[in-house]
Amino acid sequence: MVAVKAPAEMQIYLPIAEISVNVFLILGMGGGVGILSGLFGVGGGFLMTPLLIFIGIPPAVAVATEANQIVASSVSGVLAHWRRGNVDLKMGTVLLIGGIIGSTFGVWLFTWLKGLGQVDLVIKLSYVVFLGIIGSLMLVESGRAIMKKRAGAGAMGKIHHHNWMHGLPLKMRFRRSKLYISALLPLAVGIFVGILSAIMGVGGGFVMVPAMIYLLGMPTVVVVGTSLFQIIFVTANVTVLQAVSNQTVDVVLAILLLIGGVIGAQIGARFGGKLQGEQLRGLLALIVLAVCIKLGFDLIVTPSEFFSLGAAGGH
Amino acid sequence: MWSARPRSAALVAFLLASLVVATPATAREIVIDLSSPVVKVTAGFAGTDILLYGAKQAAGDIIVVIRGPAKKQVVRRKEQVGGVWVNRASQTFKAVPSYYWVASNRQDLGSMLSTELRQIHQIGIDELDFALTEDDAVDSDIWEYRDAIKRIHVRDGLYGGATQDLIFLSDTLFKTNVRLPANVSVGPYGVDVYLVRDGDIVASETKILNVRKFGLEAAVYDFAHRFSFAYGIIAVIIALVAGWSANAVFRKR
Repeated sequence: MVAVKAPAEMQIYLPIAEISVNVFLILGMGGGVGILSGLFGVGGGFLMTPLLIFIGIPPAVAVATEANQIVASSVSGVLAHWRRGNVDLKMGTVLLIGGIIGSTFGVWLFTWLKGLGQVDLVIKLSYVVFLGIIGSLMLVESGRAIMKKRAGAGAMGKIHHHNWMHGLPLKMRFRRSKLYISALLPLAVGIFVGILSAIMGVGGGFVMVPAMIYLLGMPTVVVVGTSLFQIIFVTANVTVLQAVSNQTVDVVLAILLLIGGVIGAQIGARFGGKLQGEQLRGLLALIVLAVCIKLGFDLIVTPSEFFSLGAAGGH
Repeated sequence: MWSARPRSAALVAFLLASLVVATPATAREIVIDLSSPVVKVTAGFAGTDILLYGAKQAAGDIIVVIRGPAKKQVVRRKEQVGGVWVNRASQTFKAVPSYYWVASNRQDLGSMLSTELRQIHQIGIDELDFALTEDDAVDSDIWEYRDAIKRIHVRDGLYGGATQDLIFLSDTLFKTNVRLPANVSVGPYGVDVYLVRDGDIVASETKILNVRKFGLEAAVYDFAHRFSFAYGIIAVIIALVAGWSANAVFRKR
């Protein structure tokens, strides 16, 4: 819990989360994560959802509301890529079909876990695992890049390998991506990221982008635009399904986060050009790991109350 | 859904009250009223105090019990699994009052009524008993779950009250303050006042207190639960418009 003392008029009651929060705290969080996403070109959902949990928003509400916010930030981001023609519509559509399947299954899983009383645990565990992996990989990668730069070495390795994946059926030509691969691959990536999106309240860019580059072998120039394109629809699907089956989308919270996020992203994008890439990625890696450790620590520390209450049955 | 019930409950209470008044032989021994029969929960709601006052026509002590709308409640117990604290065993209770307040002019409820009577009328937090739902088997440690319900509600300010908190202004007039915290549930609250003499309840009186959500937040909550599909679509549209306009505004620079 973050203790922030503020006059009563700065407090706003969130209708779905059913708690009172400080307006400026939420705007500030939206702005802070917005700056980071502008700086690093990431969606920020994987940082915002844990932060919302830290300030006392029920994890189920944090996840569903963050999905709603990501719809907005992805729309805002995809338009620039769209104008430059950096969206592979065909690839995006295949990913999207997978994403819709995955996220629909994910929301069903979420609702089932909620009934068992395990959803908060699963959300937190998923975050610990994914933030741990992503943070460590980023830290190692940026560390290597810094070393390499100092050593003066160049030449990246070949990223497009031919292996068993190219033997899969249902081959499809993706012109914008200059690829001729099995549609099953992007479909599987879409399904996996869709499930993550539903359970963790993320766009999934941090999984999707590396998967598109290293697994599918897409050219980097179309990766971000195509990923954002499909994230819009997947998170929109998650928002509607969460609203219907769990009533956990808090529009008031989403709007506050949006306002902060939009402003923050612009500030971040401006500073981003002035800083060095490797150091930036190293810094983001440390932030991600810090959030991971805090979440993990909260799971293992002995709770002050061993019992918890929950509403039973339907609504 | 809850709007129909309090109305009919109030009607029953009114009919009962008029019956009592209409019967000349039994003049009402206690009358009570509340400073506000309706509590409005709005955006800035930070809890409220309600004044309960009344008069008694006969000798004896007064006990006031207020119960919030009852809910089916799951109580989960955390256990350590591989170092991580996980919800494991659970018990589901049929009707747990979301709010419980007891006040009296005396300190010790036990000195006024026998344990048996307190259990029958559910007077005092210690005497509160919660039954399991039919499809839940009783665990041997069920009392720990019952205690947890009480402990968590007391911690959240939802179960409470204070003996000696009820003040006599004269031989007949009495008053007490009832604290409703910010997190109260909406619905009808039953207010029961008992006149106690020589270890027995000699008279009682009931009133209904309504707690309702008001304002935009209430409307949003209501809409989200009643028209959840439309709510989801609207949430997405807001996000689409916001994202598009953010891009339009900042592109010009």
